[in-house]
Amino acid sequence: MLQFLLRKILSGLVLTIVVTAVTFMLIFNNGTAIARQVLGQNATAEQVAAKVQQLGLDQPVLLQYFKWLGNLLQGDLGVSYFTNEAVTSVLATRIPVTLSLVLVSLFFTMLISVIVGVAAAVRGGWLDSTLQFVSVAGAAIPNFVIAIGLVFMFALTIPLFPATGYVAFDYDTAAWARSLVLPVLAVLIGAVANSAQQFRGAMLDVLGQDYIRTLRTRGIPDRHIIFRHALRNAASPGLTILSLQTIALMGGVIVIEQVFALPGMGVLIGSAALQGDIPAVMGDVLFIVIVVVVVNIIVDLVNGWVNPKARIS
Amino acid sequence: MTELSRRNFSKTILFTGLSAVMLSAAACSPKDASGGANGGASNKTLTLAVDADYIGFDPAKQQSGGTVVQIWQAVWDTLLKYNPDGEIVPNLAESFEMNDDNTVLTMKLRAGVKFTDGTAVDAAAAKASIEHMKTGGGSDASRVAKLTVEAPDATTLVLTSPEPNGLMPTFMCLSTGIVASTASLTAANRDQMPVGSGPYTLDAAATTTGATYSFVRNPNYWNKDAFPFEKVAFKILLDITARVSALKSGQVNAAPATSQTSAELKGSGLNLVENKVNWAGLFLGDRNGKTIPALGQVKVRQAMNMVFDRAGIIKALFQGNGSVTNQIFNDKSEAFLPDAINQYPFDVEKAKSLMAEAGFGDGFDLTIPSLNGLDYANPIITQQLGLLNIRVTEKKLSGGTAILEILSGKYPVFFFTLESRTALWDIVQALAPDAVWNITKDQDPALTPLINKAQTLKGAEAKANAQAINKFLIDNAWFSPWALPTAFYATDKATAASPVLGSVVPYLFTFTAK
Repeated sequence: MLQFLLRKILSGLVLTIVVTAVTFMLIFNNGTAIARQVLGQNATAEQVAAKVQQLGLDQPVLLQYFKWLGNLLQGDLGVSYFTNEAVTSVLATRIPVTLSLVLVSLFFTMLISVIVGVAAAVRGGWLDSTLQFVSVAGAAIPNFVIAIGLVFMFALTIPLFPATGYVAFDYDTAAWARSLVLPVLAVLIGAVANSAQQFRGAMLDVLGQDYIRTLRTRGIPDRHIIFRHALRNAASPGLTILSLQTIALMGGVIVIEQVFALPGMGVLIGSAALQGDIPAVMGDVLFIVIVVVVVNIIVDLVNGWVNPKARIS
Repeated sequence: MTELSRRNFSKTILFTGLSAVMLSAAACSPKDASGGANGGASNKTLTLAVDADYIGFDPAKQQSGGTVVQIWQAVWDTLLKYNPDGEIVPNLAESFEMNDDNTVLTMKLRAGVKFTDGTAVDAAAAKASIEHMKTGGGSDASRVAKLTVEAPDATTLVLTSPEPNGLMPTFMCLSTGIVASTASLTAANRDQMPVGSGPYTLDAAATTTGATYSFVRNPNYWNKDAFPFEKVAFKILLDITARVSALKSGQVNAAPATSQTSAELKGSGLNLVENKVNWAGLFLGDRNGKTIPALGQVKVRQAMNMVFDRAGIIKALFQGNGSVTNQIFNDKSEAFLPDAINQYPFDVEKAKSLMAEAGFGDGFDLTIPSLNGLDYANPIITQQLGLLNIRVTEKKLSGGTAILEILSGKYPVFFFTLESRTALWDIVQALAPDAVWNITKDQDPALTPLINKAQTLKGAEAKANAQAINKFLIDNAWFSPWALPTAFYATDKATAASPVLGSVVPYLFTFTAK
C-alpha cells in the first residue's frame, strides 16, 4: 500500500513539473511582450527594455523556470506584476473561495448521485425515467444559464439568497452557507445529472452479474447485496467519473464565479491571463495541477479501499 | 424489489431531505455579512460596482480611463479637476494659469490641507508625486514624461514643457495630477496602503484585494460637502450578469451597464446615465499609400466612407443606442461640425464610381486585424468593402501584443472604438505626427500647421482651428467613423450621478443621495 502511495505521489510530482515547465516555457518566451503588457501601450521602448531587465525576463527561459521552481520550494511564488502583492497572499484569499464551491459541490454531487443512481438502477420505473430526462436536460443546459435562472428566482424574485458575493467561513458560517447555495446549485444540477447516470449504468452492470444472482439465491438480503457487494464493484467507474467531474468543476467554476462574483481562483485565472500577470497565472496553474494530482491520488486510494481488484492492478 | 430495500431507500431519501433542510436552515439565516447588501444611500454608504480589476494603490500606476478612476478618486485629490461639462476647475490647486505659448503651467496650491498621515499638502509633495508618476512605470507616465516640475515655494507649482502643450491642465485632472503623501511614494506597502488628502481613507480591514475595496470618510477633508456619503465601497464585478443582479437586488447602488442591458435596467426602474465617450468606426491609415497604394487615394478613402450604412450599423451593433457620425470628435467637442454629418451618405453606386475614378475599380487586397471584443464589426466590414471589390482577409490577434501590433501600423485599416474628449485631446492622441493613434505616422502639409497651432491657440481661435482640422479630416476621409455609441451607467432609485466628458463612468464627486 505504501509503495502504491509513493508511486502515485512520485508520478504526481513529475506531472506537476512537466505541466508547470511547459506552461512556463509557453508564456515566458516573449519578455518584451510581457513588459509591454505591464507598462501599457504608451510606454517607450526604453521603459519596456528597463522593465524586461527589472523582471529578469532577459534571462534564458530555462534559467527563469529553475529560479521559479527554486523559489517555489521556499514557498515563494513571486509577486503580481500588477499589484505587487505576493502571489501566495493572493492565492491564500482565493483558494478558500474556490475550494468551498468545489468541495461542497462535490460532496453533494457524490451524495445525491450515489443515491439517485443506485435508486434508479434498483427500482427502475418513474425514478429511472426521470433520471434519464434530467440527465439529458442537465447536460444540455449550460450551468451559467442555470445560474442566471437561479439568481432570477431565488435572489431577485424571491430574495432568499444573495445574488452575488462570498462570505468567509470563519467570519460568519451561516452567511457562508447562504452565499454558496445558489452557486452550488448551479454547479450541482449538471454534475449530478451526469454522475448519477454513470452510477446507474455501473450498478445495472453489476446487478446483472452472475455472482449477484448467486448471492440472491443464497437468501442474502437485498440491502446487503446492494451496499456490500454491488455498490463496491460499481464504485470504480463512479469514482473515475467523480474525479473527472472534479477536474471539469475547476474549469466550470470560472464561469460560475463570474456570474456570482465570487472572488475565487476562476476569476483570478481569467483576470491574470487577460492582464498578462504571469506570476499569478503560474500560481493558478500550480494550484490546478495540485488539485488534479491530489484528487487522482484520493480516487485511486478510495478505489483500492473499496475494491480489492483495483488494489492489485 | 423487496420490502427491505424499499425501506432502505426510504431512509436514504429521508436522509437526503434532512440534509437539504439543514442546508436551507443555515442558508435562510437572516444574518448577512456579505458586505454587498449594506449599500444604500439612506445609511450614507455608497456601494459601486467596478467592471475591471484594480491594479493596486501605487500612485504611479493609476489610470485615467475606465471605471477604476472612481477607486483612486476616493483617496487622492488631483491638482485640478473636470466639471461634468468638461471645464477644468481648481481642486487642490486653488488657481492655475498657462503662459501665452502654453509651455508653462503655474498652479497655486490650497493652504492648510493635510494628508491623512498628518503631513502638509504642499508644492514639494505635488512635485514628488509627479516625479514618481514619471518614473514609476505606469501607463500614464508618458503624459508628464517631458515636463519639468518646480516648486519655488510651498504653495507654487510650476510645470514647464519643452514645446507648447495645451493639455497640461487636462493632465492635472487625471491620474497624472494625483498628489500623494511623499512618504507613501516610497513605502514598501504603497500598493496596499494609499495615503492621500482625498475625501476617504482605505478601510484595510474591510478590504479584500481583487474583490472589495472599502473606504471611510476622511474627517479632516477640506471639501467635505462635495462627498455626501460616510462610506464608499467598490465591488469588482467583472461580469455584466453579476453587475445587473447585484444592482437589481440592491447589493450595489450603481454599476457600469452595457447597451445590451440598458433596456432591462430601464424596465426595472433603475436610472441610466448616458454618455458618448468613444467614436466607433474604421481607422484608415497609410494615407500616403506607402504600403497599400490605394489607401493613398482620397477617392478610395471616400468610397470606403460611403459604403457603410451608419444608421443600420448603430441598430445592428449598438442596439440603436448612439448617433450617426463621420467625425472622430464627439458631439460636444468644439471641433464637431454638425452640418458636415451627412457628407458621406450610404451610396454604394457612388462609392463604386469613386473607386473607378481613382483607378481601383477592381479593388485591392486588405488584411484587417481581428481582436477579441472588437471583432464584432468585421463581418460587416468584409461584406461592405467586398461591394467595392476590396478583398478583406482577417488576421486573428490575441495576447498582450495585440494592441502593440495594431499601433505598429502593420494593419492600416481596422475597426476600433477610441475615446474622444476635448478637441485638443483628440488631436494630440490621433492626428499629430507622433500621436499614438496616428499608427502610420501620416502627415499632410495642409494639416501639420493646423495641428501645431492647436497647442497654443485659445478661445475662439482654438475653436476655429479645431474645426478647420476636422473639416480637413472629413474632406480627405482620414477616417471612416460610423457612430458615437452611447455608454451606459446605471444607478438605483436612491442614487444620482452625472456623466463627465470623456469618462465611461461618473466621477465620484458627482454622486449624490436622492
